[in-house]
Amino acid sequence: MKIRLIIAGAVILTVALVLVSIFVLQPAKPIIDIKGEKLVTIAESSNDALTVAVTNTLFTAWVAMALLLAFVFFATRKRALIPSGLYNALEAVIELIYNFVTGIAGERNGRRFFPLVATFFIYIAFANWLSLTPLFNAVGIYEPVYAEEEHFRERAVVFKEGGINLILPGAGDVEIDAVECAAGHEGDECREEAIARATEGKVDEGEGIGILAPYLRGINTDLMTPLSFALVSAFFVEWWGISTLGFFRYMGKFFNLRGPIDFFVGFLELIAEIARLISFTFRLFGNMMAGEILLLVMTFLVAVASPILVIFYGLELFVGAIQAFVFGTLTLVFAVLAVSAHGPEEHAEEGHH
Amino acid sequence: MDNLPPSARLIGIGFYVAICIAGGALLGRLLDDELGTDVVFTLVGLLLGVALGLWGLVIQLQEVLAAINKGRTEGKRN
Amino acid sequence: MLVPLLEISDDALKFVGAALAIGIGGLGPGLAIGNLVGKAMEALGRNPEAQPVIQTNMILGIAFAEAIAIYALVVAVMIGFVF
Repeated sequence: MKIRLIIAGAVILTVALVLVSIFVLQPAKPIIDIKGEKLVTIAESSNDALTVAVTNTLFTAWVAMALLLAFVFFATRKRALIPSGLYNALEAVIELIYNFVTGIAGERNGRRFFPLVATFFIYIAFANWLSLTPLFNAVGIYEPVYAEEEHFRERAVVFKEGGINLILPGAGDVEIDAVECAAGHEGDECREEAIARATEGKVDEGEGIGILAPYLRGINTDLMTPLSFALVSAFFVEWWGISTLGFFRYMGKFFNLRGPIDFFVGFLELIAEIARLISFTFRLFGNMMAGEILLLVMTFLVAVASPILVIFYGLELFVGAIQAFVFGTLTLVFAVLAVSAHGPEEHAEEGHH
Repeated sequence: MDNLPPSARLIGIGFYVAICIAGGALLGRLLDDELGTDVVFTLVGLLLGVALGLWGLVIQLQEVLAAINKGRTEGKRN
Repeated sequence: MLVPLLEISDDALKFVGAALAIGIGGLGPGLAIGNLVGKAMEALGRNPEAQPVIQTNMILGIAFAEAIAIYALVVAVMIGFVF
């Protein structure tokens, strides 16, 4: 009976919030950016892709690494024969992953593959879960919107320069209509005019328009991080394959000159190796980016966050853990395939443990 | 240097890698400002810093692992 | 009757494109994952002792099938936000 009361209360609250947000307060609209925002620029370049800068995803990666290292440091300070506390938790996690890895790869290969695969499991899962804690995507600096091409955006928010700003419901949303302006450096004056038109009544002295560049942002929402994970995974799989089988035997799996059908199969396997990079990258990036956009849109759907959001939060937790598991397991499976000489028969031999 | 716990040496190695990468990037940028080219030297300095840091990391990490194994086989607690 | 159709703006077509990309792109992977998990449940029912092996391979298969849905999602997001 109590459960029914709680559910009924949540539904009534959500409906009331929807009505409030339609008629009374307009919720602020989230501004979603696919690229990571730059916090500290080290070297400017005329080509925006080559600018060396510290982005907020890089900063978050450092924070995640520091937290993991702090956890391990404090867990291993007292090492006794019968573990307890943090050390127990750490040992349980390591043992779980180790049993899993040796279950798939066998004892000898399992020891070799274990450090990288365990790193993928722990780091990706921890980083994905970290991005669900408070302060993520919420606190940051303002990045102003200018007329030059790199700094131009279609939607922005009015902010006071200098001081603390809060983006509240009903805040000054600014939509800049610059569809006719040319892309590239020639459209600068046209964009200036568009900005001036859009901010006519809304911007006072000492105010500007811009977007929020948060200090902390989930690391897998920037395309570069999953790409670097995929590159590391591919490099290590090739390395293990070559160091186990020798260079010519390993390459002989792809460039198979024994007959025309074998040649085509080898060629397709080569293409599959390269397609693996793209698939790893986009699987991780797509899941995490979609999750973040989903949470942002659901949060800003009504003026004040509603209880229905809890369902999507749970989905994000689940998806974060599953993606880490899938990344590590796929790396492990491809590594086992790479070090096996004949394919299925040897794999079956190693797998039974 | 040998009777510090391994965690202190690892912190030292971490600082070494960070300073290599940051130093490489900053030296590259100084060169860029002097010679006026677009970010080329910054990127080259960054890559060299990463390579140097990684190399030093591998060598020092092998030393730390050897020290831990030696301590373990002799029955000492490190 | 055709005149309103000819006056559709670019933005409207962009939204329709993004919606269709993820809508149609989600059909195949949905069917595939449903099939896969169904067969896994069948195998599990026949041989409950092989549960870890079946579960691991099932999750692997689900990851491969879901990757196709993710490609469709990435195309939809690119159409909606980048172009």
